[in-house]
Amino acid sequence: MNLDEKLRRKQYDLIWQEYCGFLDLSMPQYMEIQNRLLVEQLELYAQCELGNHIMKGKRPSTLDEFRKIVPLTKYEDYADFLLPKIDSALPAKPLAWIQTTWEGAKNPIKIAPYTEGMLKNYTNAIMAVIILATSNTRGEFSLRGGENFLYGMAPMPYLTGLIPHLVNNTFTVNFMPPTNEAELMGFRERSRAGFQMGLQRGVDLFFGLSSIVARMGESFVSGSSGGMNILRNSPKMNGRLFKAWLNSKQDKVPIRPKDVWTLKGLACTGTDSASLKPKIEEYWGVRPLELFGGTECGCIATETWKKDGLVFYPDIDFYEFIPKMEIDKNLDDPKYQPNTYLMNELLPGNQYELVVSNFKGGAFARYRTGDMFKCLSLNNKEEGIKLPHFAYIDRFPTIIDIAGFTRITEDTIDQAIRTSKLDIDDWFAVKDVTEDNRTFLHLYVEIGPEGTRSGLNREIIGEHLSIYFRHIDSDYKDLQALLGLNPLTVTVMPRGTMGQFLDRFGRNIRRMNPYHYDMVEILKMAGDSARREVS
Amino acid sequence: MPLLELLSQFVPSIALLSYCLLLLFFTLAKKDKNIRMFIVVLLGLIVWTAPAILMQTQVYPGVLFWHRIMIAGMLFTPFLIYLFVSVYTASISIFYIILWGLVAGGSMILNLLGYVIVTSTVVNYDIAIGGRHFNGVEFVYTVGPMAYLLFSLMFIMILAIIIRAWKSIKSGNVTYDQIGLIIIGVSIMFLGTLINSLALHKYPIAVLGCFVNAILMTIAIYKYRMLELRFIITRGIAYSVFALVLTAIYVYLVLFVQRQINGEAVSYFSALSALAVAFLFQPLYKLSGNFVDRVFSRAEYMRRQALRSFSHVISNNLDLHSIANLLIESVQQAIRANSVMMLMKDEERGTYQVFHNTSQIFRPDLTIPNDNPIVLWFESDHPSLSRQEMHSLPFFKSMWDKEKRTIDELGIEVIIPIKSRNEVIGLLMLTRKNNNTGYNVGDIDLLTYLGASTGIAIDNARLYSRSQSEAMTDSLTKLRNHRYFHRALQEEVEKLGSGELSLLMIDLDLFKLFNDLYGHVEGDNALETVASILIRNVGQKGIVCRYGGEEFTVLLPRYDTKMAYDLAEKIRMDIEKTFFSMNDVTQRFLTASIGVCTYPYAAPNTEELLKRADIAMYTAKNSGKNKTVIYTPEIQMTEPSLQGRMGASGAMKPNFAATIYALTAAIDAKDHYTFGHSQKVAEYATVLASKLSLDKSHIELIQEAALLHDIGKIGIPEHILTKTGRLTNEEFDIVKQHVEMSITIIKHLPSMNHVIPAVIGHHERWDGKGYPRGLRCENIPLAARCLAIADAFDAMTSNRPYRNSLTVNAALVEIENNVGTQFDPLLANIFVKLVRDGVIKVDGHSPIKVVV
Repeated sequence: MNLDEKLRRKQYDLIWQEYCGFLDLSMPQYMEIQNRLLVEQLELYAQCELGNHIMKGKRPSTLDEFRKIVPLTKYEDYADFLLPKIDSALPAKPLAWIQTTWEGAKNPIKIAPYTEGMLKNYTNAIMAVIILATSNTRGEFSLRGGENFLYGMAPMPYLTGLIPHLVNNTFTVNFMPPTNEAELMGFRERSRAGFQMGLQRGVDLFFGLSSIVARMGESFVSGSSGGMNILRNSPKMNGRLFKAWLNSKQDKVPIRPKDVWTLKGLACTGTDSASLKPKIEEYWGVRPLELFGGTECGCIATETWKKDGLVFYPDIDFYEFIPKMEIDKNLDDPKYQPNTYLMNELLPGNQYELVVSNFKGGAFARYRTGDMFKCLSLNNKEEGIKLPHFAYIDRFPTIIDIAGFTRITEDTIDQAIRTSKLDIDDWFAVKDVTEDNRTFLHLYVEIGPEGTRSGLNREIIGEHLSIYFRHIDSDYKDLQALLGLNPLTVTVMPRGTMGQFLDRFGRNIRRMNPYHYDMVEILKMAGDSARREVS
Repeated sequence: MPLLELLSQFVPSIALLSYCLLLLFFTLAKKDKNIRMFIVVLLGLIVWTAPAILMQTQVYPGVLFWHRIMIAGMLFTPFLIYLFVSVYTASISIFYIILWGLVAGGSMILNLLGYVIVTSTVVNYDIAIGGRHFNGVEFVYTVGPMAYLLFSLMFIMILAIIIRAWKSIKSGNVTYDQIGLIIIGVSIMFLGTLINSLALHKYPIAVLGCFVNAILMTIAIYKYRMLELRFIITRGIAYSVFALVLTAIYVYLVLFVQRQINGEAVSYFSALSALAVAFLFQPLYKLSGNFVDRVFSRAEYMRRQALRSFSHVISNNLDLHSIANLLIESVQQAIRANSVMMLMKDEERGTYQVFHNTSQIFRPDLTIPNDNPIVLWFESDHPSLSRQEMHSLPFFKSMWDKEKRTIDELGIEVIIPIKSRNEVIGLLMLTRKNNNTGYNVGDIDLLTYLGASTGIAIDNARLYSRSQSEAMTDSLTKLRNHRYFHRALQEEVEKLGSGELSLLMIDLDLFKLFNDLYGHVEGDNALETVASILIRNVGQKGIVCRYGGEEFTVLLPRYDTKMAYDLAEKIRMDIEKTFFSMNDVTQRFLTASIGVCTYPYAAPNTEELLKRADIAMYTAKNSGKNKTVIYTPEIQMTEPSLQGRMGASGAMKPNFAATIYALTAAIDAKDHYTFGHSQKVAEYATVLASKLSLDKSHIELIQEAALLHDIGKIGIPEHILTKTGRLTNEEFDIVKQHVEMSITIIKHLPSMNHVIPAVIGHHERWDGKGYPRGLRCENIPLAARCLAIADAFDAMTSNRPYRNSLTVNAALVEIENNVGTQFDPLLANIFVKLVRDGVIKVDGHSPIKVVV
């Protein structure tokens, strides 16, 4: 019986149990699932070429052996098998290959295989997200089938592009615009078309990048979201628009999306979700549910009906966590193999980098995702959830993610500076936040003697580098086009500041996201000019 | 009765009854907006139909009143159906609802005010059909000015219903499957009403149309499960419904009969006719009761039967296969599943495997490991597991894909545990039922009961099987025992036909000595080791039994003498190698002597086979041990030692004296001191032993052991034995080896084996610090303890090349000083007393004559 049938039969308890039942698990039950599925994966992994390569020809059969034998991995370890899509070398036959940007690497993309089992789990995870997004209380949700679904995520071959296909196979929902039409459109065109359809028919569900959802709210309020054709709208929508217009005139406030639409649920994702969620709720009138996913790991975490922290699904990947302290050690000494801890070994308040091993014949084992999470609590007693809750913090310190669109690495910046031929002696970059919670790349540079002579300044550097960033990184270009943001700010430091830092501390300042106290020290050394610019 | 009469009376009655029943069911169901709306529609239909009956009965307040009520129902019901369709298709339009509501309400008011039906009466008439006369009734009514307008509006409303439903299909709100039946039902109602209005108004076609419509709407609701029935139709409800139906028909018939006689009958006639009809209905009521019983009890009956036969047989059954077969038969009888499988736990592998199933040909390849969540689920005391639970409960997320696939491919719908003392010992798996219905609570309860009963039965069967096995198994070696051997020998010979069967009779050499030397624990270990050697070598080729004590038998069906001999030699060498390879010096000498005899060539029957294998084995023993001998008739003729085994005990006595003399002479030739020393130790030890009131044979053993206790010194280099200075550590280590050397010499003299425990233990100390084995206290054989005291005393009182002798008194003091550490306190004190009392004479003694 499919989900439509269950909805029609009003088997809501059964639906909840099937998709959201994992939130009832105790920690030992959760770990039992993790361990058993890992053993299944190890069996599959041991029988394939990729598995032999990653496990160095050994065959661990238990969790402990696996963690002892297999080192932490990066995409480079898999590239030779995955980029040429060698199916026969994999633990199980892939049904889909999913793509993403390989930040700062020689190859522009990374691809990951998805097997039948992984796709099934991905579907279940997404359905749990949709159900939980429409829920405020355990076991109760307002999803009934046939909802109008405004979908603002990237299309295939990105991971989010799979969602409309998987959801359409599970239950009846009206994607706006319809999936087959949407895949022929560009991002901007698709968003516009979806928005227009939403005005005509109404919107029940919305899923998008946090930055995009917030931006659409802003555009709506500012009236720049495109013209409304009341002749094409349903009378109901026209009625709502009219009522919203009357209220806005009366209260002298702009019309917000929530005045026009009553959403059943809103789901969002992206690095700046945490900071944008209040704004999204303000615009859309519904508390957004955050989820987390990645190309290599799949959709692995969702918030609950309380929307107060991510909980990891037990059956998507095997999770290990590297504490922040171990990451710092590893940053200082790249040869250092950081220790990992399991889900039942975490401490609330601590930050961790996530390490995943795919289940169900996936390719990745002990893969460092580069995503940082903060463990908020080990459970939620009030709601009776016995699993840890997390907040997504950011990417790994050496990667700067802006609005969930682009991921800038040391190599990207280096390449942009080299290509621009600007006389920049030295630099470091920090991910910074504006007053209205927008993230941006803050580049601190020291200009070389030639540059100083030729009057090189922050504006020129900013403009030049923006051009080269757009050239090197297509996502960066989208960021500017879609969000209207200039995500780069340049601060010029007095020459020799970084040299002074080296002299004083006996080490160079880290180029990407230096430690907080190093930043304090170097800004002190840079003196008032730099600090003024920063402030 | 004319057709018209029949139709106009039966159709409304049946329709009304059906509406009432539907109303009852839907009222009991869990209600949502669809159900609530449908209940309202049913009420409208009742209002439409009931007056038709009341008109015929002409009950108060009269035909006109009921006719107007019926028209009110007719005018208002389409509006109610319109509302229902709007709710059902989720296409509520307030405008149209208000519009049609006003039309329907207005129509009703006009109707009740008399603008639709002006007059309405019943005319009785007499009609002759085929020469027979019938009394009939006919409604005669006149319609008012608004009638045609209102009927037209009603038709338009019915059309609007159909249009709304059609639009909903087109807009995708509902599918044709969902709404199709409702469109058909409303269309039939429309046609019925139209026909009734235009012509044939005498016939209740409109009511019939409404009835069909209600049935189709019910099917539509049920088919798409908008209805969650929260009650089960019990026998009580079914009886009530039948009683209701029969009462209605009964009342109707009574009234009908009464009307037929048209008031001409007197009151008692009415009563009589009622009584007659009631009498006629009695069998019908009984019949209906039986029908209800059959329908409702069929499943129950089958279950009862299954349970009865299962409970009866299971309690007397101790055979696992039979229990499994019975369980599956009972399940099939009660549930009728397409396929039933029973899995049993394999304790060794820790998995559950198919033990029995319904198919005689195909046995599914299904193995469920111990850690499978299905097993863990039942260990947590859950009574059953359905496919749906397996797919929806998070507990089962840890199932592997291949595990899920196997369960799905086999079409398993329900799993029931078979538990014994809280341990899941088996699983009962069922596929879909034959009639494709789901498993209900009753089915699950029954299966749970069967599972629990089977668990107890299996437990009993296993206990029985275990006790049976234990009765046939040697508890130490886990080999089959003497009893089993005799049964197996008989069975194997019987089923042998013209083939051969060889028997190996294996006896461990000097095993009693082994036990005496190393204790019974070591002896038991040695037996277990030998058992494992036998199992390893024989495997599935034969039957290994512990015949008794240190004797083993191996039955080798279809083994000729040569093959049996080869295997026996392999076993013998394996035993020899195993024990000789052990580091412990004290286990060097465990070997086996094996006799081989083959049926039918060397023995005509089982008794002779056993006897002759035994003879061959004793031949091996008496010809030097550690060898294999094949039985031939010549052996029996030439083997005198067999007489002992054959019952002529005491006829044989080894010539100990000659042997001892020969050995002591050898030592005398090499080391005269030792010769004299042995003589004296023998004298002292014998006196001591006599004082202990030991039996004669024990005293003789001590005497012989004393004479031979230092025989190993033959192997010690002469320069060490005669060294005048203090011995170095290395030299002392060499001297200490004389104990083991003594054993090495004596073990080759079968007749002297009995002295080995005393000889090997004469340098042990009471406190466990002696050598070679470090035995302590009474673990040291008594004879050895006697020798130790006598040996030490003579050593102290004799002159040695490296020191002068102590005085007797000094030697006794020395012994007393070492009581409880070196010497057995009891024996040492007795010995000292014997010396002091002069019973043991130290000077002037003469060598003991060795006379046995």
